[in-house]
Amino acid sequence: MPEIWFYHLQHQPLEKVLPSLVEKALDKGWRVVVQAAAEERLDALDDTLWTYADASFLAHGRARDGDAEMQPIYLTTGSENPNGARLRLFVEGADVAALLIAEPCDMYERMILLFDGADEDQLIAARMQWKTLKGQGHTLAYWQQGERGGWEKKA
Amino acid sequence: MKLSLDPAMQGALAEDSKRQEWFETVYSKAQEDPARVPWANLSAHPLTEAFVKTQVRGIDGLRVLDIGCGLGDNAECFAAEGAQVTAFDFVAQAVEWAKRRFPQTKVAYRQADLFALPEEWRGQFDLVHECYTLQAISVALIPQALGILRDLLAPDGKLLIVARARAEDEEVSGPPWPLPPSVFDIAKAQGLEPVVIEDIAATERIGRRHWRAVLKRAG
Repeated sequence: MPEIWFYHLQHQPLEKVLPSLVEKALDKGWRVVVQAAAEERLDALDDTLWTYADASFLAHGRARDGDAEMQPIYLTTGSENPNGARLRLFVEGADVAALLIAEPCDMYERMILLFDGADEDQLIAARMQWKTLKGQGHTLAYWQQGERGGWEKKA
Repeated sequence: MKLSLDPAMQGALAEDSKRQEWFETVYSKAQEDPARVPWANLSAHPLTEAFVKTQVRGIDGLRVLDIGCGLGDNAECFAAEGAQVTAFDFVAQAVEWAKRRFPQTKVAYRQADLFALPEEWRGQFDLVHECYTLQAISVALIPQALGILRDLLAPDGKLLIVARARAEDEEVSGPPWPLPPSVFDIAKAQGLEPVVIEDIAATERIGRRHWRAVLKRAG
């Protein structure tokens, strides 16, 4: 089963953090799925990945774009993994436990749930997911963002 | 030292815009020493290899054509995963050398000119792979080359391009001539739609910014 990491955003927004996580995964030769709870969030991430840097972009696609199996990064609100991703990112409350129950997840090396510490709803949802997943016996880690943007493992 | 052989490096593009004479000279002067062939790494290109390894459906049984195969490492990478590979190079010495390097190969190696390919290859390939060929030919020939690559594709076939990348306004002093983003507009005009265009930053393994792009026939 994949290891499951919780990333607590405190000093940078998701739009800043997500591209760097994705880049690191691609450097490892992993493909990535990003799962959000709502299509509106996917629209915003779609824009972010094209425009996050002046001189570069991160190629990605959604189901509506076709050829999903060829995409290095696939954005979805569903549970599918058409591109053979080994990293799955969950943003804004997307449910890790529900996916682990619904789908075979052995192909993943890692799942990361990103949540915004300044958003009370996300914070509560993340705590609930931590408790559920811990109770199910999954290997969890909790990472908190330091003031300089680096990540420290807290649990 | 190696590159000084190339007329294009001396500021005057040779009349032979395919640079056949230069390529032949490089292989001839190398005398079986791959260290004297600037592009011969004796391993598949990391971006090609990673592509092969990450295909969800695998590439077993796919009909693959490797353009400008050189000493054969990319072609062998596809064949090792079960593809039916045809590979060609402009330079006969390169093809013979590749055959000697891989005596048990399942790859069908042959000498051929991209601009005069066998008619029976049209529409026959599920995957056409070009690594560092487009960037090595005269810019003026790129639209024609892309049109030829399109014609090689089977109806659902894909073209995989691995090439050095540059910004549109970045000055270059090739060869090679890294490809600007507008190459994908040229591809579109030649009937090739993008499936994925990856802009890959320089890393320890790759060294320079690259494109890795998958295109398919329009329509």
